[in-house]
Amino acid sequence: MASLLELSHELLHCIFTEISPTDLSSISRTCKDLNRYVCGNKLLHKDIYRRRYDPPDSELDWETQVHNLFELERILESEDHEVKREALGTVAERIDHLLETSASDPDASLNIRLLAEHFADVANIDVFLCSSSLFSRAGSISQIPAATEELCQTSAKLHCLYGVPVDEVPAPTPFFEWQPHVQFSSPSRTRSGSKPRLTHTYARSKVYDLRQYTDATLWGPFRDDGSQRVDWEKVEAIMIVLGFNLRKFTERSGGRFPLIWDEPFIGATPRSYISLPPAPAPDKELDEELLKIRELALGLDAQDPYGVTGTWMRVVCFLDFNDLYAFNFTKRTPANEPREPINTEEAIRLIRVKWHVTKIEMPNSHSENDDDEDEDDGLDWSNFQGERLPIVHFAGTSRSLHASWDPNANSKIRGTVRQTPEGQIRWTTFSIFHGEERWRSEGIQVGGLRSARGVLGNWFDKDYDIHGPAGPTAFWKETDTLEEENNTN
Amino acid sequence: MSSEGEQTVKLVSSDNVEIVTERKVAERSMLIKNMIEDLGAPGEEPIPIMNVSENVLKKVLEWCAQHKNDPAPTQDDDADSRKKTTDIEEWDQKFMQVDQEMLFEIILAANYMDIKALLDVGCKTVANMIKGKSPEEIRKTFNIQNDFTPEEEDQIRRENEWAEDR
Repeated sequence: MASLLELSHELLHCIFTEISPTDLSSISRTCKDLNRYVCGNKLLHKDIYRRRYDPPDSELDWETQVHNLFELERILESEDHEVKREALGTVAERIDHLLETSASDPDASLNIRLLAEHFADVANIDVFLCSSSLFSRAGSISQIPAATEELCQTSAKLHCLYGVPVDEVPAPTPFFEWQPHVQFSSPSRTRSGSKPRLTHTYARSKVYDLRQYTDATLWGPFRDDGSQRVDWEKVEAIMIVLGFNLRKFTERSGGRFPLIWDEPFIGATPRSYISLPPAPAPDKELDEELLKIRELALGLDAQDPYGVTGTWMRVVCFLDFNDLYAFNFTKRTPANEPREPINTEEAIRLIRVKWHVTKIEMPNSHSENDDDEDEDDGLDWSNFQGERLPIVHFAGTSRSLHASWDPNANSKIRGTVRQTPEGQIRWTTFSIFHGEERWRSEGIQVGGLRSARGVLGNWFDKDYDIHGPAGPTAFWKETDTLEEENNTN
Repeated sequence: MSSEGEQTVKLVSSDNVEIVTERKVAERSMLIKNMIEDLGAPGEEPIPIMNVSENVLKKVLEWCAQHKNDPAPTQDDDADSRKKTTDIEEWDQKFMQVDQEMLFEIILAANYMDIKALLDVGCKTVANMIKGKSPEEIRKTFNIQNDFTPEEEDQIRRENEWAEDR
């Protein structure tokens, strides 16, 4: 008589690859035979993994990974905030794994879809994405900082990977106000009936607080200890401030500038950048310099692991200098206290940058005379994992998308990209006006090597003027080409 | 061979019953298709289906007749396996509403006769019988004896905490 237990292992495999990990767990608890079949069955777990998640390039401990990722799903599904809160560290680690191994096409990625679905849940947003120290002041009543500094960093990093700044939405239309279910479904919008605390005002107060710009942080989004570990709380604040300004800019442009940073986790994965198809070959004569650059670049590009050469979009925000000065220097704030929230309107500049690789240096081969490289000394690389990538130098031009007369937007630009001991991708740029370097930026590529999301960081005076100016900046790659786009408006 | 569709073949079940069926229907089975190709002269020589009894073979052929015009299975296994697991066509679902013994007989026959799509439907049907059930409910459904000692049961439950509701 045919029955489940009499099926061959091959047929059991066919059946069990169709069930969920919970069901598999139940199966393994029914009897010894099935327990022996399931436990330690690499191929079965591998197939279950590859059905549920994006297949990674390398072999894994499939059984452990299925258990880990499924446990992650259960935590994300849980309605118990405390269960979630206690699991923040674990959840972050496993989301990292899902992102690192996700398919490069986000639309086809099971991992991205899975995460996006779970993070449609406000509880997951509140607990996992809004637990940095920023939320001790900002955010809603269910957004509270994690217990330790490291966990605050972990949450801030998750928020950056999520990539859609979590902020109070603009005041709802009157239509919503009398809809009772809207108020019930979002009691967290207001703190005991008071006005919502606008997260971007607190993020702005962090981003423009000149005390955050120190030598040990390289004046960039790094921890204040010279280790070049990323300070994700800074990156988070930069993302929120720039996101706020970009959203406003989109609204004002009447949609001509499309809304960006609106899709969870998209582009926050290594190698997620894919070049737009190049514009139809322009039929204009290329000047000799450009030809020479191209020839040289082709050779260098092939050796460049970061995908530098091409056209990038850059956004820079800044406070009016008087506002910045007043915010930083009129009122004394104790050293360990954050400054007041600030709602002052900033200026935004969108800049199209074209740069190409000029030089590739192997790591450890100390560069000859670059004055900006010396801060690599004394870094602790003992915990570095993976392959050491070279330092890539690049140069090019940047041009404002706004009024072309704006003297600050059109410049030459040069910079470097390299790894940090944590394995993060660090970008340094210098803007050059009339042959003189003026602004510098330090940033981190969110999502890692060749991510589509691009770089978030700080810009500041290249001579480190403690009176500023300084502010947030971001750039992300648009295409691999350096051509002028002649078919767009 | 324009009349291939109307050709018939003779199959012989394990309990020695001869069944005549349309060649196109029978060739849903890769086993039969390969045999016909090897034998050369279809229709004359009866084809023995050694592991499948008459009632199961008839049931399998019923499925094959329904699906005789389906496109040939693709080689793209990877894309295939990523399809939603619960997707079973309505007709197939009804077809699979049989007692458990017949269900497993169909699976065994589909496997033996190399009919991938039917095997797939069969496995999915069993998978759906497992889904969402507790270990005890699964035991009941499939008539499985719990042969764990209470201590073993306890330990296995602990090992499976990763799957529990939070």
